[in-house]
Amino acid sequence: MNVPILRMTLRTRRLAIFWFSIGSFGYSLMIMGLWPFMETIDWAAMVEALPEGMAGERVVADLSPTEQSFYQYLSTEWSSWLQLVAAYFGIWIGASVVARDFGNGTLDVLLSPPISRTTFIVARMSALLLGATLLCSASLVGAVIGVLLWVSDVDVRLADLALMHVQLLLFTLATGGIGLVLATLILQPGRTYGVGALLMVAMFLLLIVANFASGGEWIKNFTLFSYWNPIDQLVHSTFVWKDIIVLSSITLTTSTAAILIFRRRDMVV
Amino acid sequence: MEWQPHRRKQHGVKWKQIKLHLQSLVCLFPARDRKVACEGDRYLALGTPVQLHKSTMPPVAIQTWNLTKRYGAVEALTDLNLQIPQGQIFGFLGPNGAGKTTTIRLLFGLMRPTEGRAEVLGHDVHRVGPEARQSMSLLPSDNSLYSFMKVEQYLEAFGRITQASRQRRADLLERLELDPSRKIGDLSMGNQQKVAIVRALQDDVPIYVVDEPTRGLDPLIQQEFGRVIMDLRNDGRTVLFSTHVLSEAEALCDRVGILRNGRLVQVDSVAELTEARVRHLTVTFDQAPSADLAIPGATDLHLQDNQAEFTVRGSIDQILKTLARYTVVDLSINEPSLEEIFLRHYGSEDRE
Repeated sequence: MNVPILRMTLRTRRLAIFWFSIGSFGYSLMIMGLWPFMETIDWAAMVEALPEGMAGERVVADLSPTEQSFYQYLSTEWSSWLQLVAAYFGIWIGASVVARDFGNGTLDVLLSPPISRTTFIVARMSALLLGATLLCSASLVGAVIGVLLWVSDVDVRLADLALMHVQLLLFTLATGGIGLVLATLILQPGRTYGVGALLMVAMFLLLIVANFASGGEWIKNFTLFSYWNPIDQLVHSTFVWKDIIVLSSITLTTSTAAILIFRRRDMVV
Repeated sequence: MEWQPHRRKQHGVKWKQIKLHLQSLVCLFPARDRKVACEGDRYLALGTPVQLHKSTMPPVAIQTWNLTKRYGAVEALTDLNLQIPQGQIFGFLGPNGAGKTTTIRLLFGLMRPTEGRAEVLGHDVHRVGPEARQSMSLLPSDNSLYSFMKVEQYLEAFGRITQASRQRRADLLERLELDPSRKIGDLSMGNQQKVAIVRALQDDVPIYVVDEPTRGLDPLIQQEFGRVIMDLRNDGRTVLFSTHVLSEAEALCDRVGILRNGRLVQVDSVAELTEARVRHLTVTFDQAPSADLAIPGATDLHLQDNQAEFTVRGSIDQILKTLARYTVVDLSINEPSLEEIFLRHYGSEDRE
């Protein structure tokens, strides 16, 4: 791995990574901080009242009404938004580590030194990994501080919060891998971001369709958004191995594909 | 300014040296037509002095064999056979779309050739790309920079990747009058071009490839840049100088190659090109010469009073010997520029 390339990549993306991380930290902190004001709302009952398919994840467990309400609140207001932010961040930074430099012409200069393309893209992927880790860590820190300060009536295990964020990291890396493959295939930044965004929207719609359609569970296999079940982790302390394996496989496959494509790709202006 | 000798490690020098010497020997026997641009044939036959940087280094910096690049039906570059010896400034001439940038991108492995191959100091640019690029530094024509960075941050960041010389960077900044503390985004186009130049030339390598390097530079800095390039040459380094500014090529280059529609149509030393080209002579005699004035080698002869105007192709030695029989009051030789030679290869329709 080429450290100067990694440093330069982090340097050129530092503002985006910083603000995304600050945002995720602030959002997690805010969600936990709002709980004392939200606990008067019976979230579980409210979610139950929603039509089938719109309720998202229902918390069915041997929990007190307060706990039920808390986790339903997190499911509705926190984890689903966090997932969207992670998807956007992953696609954007995954695509930008190649496409942005191609678009502004700096890729030629970056590829002219005596380093192989594999070394180059591995350094870039490492920047994606570090960026995603920072984003998820920031959210975790915000959530932990928020729980310690404001959530006293629900027993939230910090280890579960951490594991939930490991899942979030894998989800971010999987979307980042997709963005990276798209970038190596398309190269043009505008088109890459466009196709990436369309793909994410399509997968999100698939999740909604799967929730609404009777017997549509199988559709969930084709959307990345179904491999993120944070409430399972928080409520049942269940580390969802299936999700982990699928997200890791997608990350590995897309990363390998990106390397193979990029090694042979003509950088045609 | 003193350039530091390059320190990059040469791989397999002995074998490559033997191999390249053999290739050079083959080129001693030019089997091809002079009009066909086999650079090796021309270079060795002309006996152009080559300043070798080190005795252990092979004499050829860049060599291509039938290098071809096609995009579907469009031929961007066709059968490029080129041999650039070390220690020369080689001008790569041609208008936009002639194939100059395509060649450079192929040399740096940014694209794969459809056919043919290229070597840099004996390293195949596609099979062992990093080794080949170890010896080269690129100044691309489209120099997009990181506008949010300061000049020194940008140069340092790239310098770390290529292990560039800080001393060299400082010298270049001083010579090109560039303030390293400025933010790149705040600089004028000319100053941004200077940043790109320093970024490329701060690398301590034997070969520099510069694509339209003087774009946006003011005339004084252009002159200084020319001196920097000459210093590189004097230090035994090779410069592939791609340009469509003919005066620049004429002033700086030892030899030039002219590309037309992706084909190398002529390669020669600047001196050879100017020698072989057409000159317009105007001779004023002390009295009107006889109507049957015969000047060997002259064409388009026009006599008017005591003045004769004619055109000569090639050497003017015989002309001067003939004119010595007369009393010549004035003689003007209209030196056609490289532009005229260039235009011989490009009809107006090609330049559109």
